Amino acid sequence: MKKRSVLPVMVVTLAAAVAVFPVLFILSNSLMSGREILSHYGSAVTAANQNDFIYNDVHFVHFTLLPSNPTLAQYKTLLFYSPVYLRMFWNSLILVVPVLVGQMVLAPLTAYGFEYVNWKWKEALYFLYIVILLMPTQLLMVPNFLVAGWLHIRDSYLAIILPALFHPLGVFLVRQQLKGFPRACMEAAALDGATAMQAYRCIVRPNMRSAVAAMLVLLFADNWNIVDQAVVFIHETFDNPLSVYLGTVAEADPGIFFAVSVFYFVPALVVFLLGEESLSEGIVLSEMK
Amino acid sequence: MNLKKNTFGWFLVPSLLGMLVFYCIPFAFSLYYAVTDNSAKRQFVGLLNFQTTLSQPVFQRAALNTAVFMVISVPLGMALGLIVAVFLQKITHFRPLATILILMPLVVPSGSIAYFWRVLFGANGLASEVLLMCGVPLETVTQMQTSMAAVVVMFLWKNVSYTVLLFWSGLNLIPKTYYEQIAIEGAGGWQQFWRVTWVYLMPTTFVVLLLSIVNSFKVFKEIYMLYGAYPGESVYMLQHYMNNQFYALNMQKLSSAAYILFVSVSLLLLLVFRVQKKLTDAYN
Repeated sequence: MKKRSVLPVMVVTLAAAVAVFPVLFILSNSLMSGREILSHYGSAVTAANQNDFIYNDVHFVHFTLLPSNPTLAQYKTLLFYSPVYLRMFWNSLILVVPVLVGQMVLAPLTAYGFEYVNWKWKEALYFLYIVILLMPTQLLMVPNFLVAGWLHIRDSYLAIILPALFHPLGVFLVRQQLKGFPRACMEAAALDGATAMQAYRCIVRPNMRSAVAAMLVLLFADNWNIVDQAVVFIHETFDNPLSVYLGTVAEADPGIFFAVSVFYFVPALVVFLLGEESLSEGIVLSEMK
Repeated sequence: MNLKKNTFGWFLVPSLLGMLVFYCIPFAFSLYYAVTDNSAKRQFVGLLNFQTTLSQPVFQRAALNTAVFMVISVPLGMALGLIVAVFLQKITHFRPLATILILMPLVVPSGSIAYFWRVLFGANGLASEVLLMCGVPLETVTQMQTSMAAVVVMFLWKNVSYTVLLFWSGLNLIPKTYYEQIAIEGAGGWQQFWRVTWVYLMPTTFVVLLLSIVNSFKVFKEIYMLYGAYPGESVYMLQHYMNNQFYALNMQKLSSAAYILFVSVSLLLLLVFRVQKKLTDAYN
């Protein structure tokens, strides 16, 4: 038994190391000064990096994990002298928060309706949700784009937020958990004379907490990382969420890049750590039907 | 079920309305664009737009790249996810910590680690450096800079954690007694995997497969971060083709491409559902 337990430990350690390494790299490099970053990763040959690998007058990266002179200068620049990043961080928040709040209300409500309503066609209707859930973002953006045109909101965040409110992932996750909810509880509620709304508020909703939490973590991760919709719907650079702008910072302002990366990652990390326990508990995948 | 008033239908109304307004109705309407021309009169042209789209070399290229990417990354991502999830369940020490670390890529924004990938795969990155040091000519190295392999690596790093999470939740549904029972019969770890885990994980595996297929389209983010909005031909995907039609406001090409994508993805999903049904019947 002892002998066999070596392989799992090795595999898990390797996986954890691979998963965490890029994040550590970003973290430690964010403590470098802008000049050090340029000399390590820039393509220009300078006095400081002329001993690194150079080919055809192009300087190749010198991979470094530990800064030679740790400094918080990048963070200082970011927080006090670069309003652009704060503005885009704010844009990201405006895009994400309404979606989370809306889904938190709508998804469990809808899942509840689907689970207990007695319509003949409800499963056929639900299948529609599954189909939409399984369609790629770029395809769903076509109907989203058309509606946005009809409603004259193509240049506003609403074009992204409104469809996201109704994306079926939340309904799917909550309903999966609701399927395991004991029928007897609902019957007891019916005996006590509860209405459907009362049963929802007092019995179902409190029991769906982990599914809702798991949904929020996944939705936050997805929407905080929004790129696909933003590059189509948002035209002004300054209206972009930070997730999109990060793709261009590397060229425009490489010195500050790592600090911005960490800065953008922190809220996602906080949400993840808060909801991490619910993730394994709240996601119940049996069959997709 | 007999609550005082069976009013469950009302709970569905807001979501159904949203679904109709933002997804179903406009998608049905886009069929109108797909079968008419671009003139002011909007004349019916039948399947001409589909024919045009399908015969465009750039569309074919995008479709091929997307298919290749999917065929590589979906099975690879699922296999890695399953291995990690199974072993994660086996370890006894530090499991919560290991879980947190392994699931973390799930929430790391693609943009936040973009520079890490740039350091590895960029024009003056480590990968090129190593190739040049090994004596590979500069021309070849430059060609390899926008490569599918880099895209697969970036995608797997972020998305394997998602598969681990899904498989992990599926593994938790398998009762421990099944393993104990088979262990009494003298089955080793490998046999336990095939006779219990593999069999009872099958329903989860299919859900993971379905979600992995959708998720494989998310690779757009990684490509955007490393290569920008207009990447080289070798990693030009259907997502980029669609985006170009959005920018050009070409509703004909956009709608016909959307329907082509819809039909292909639906057929793929249908196939998965059929295989699942066959397998479930076989096991019962």
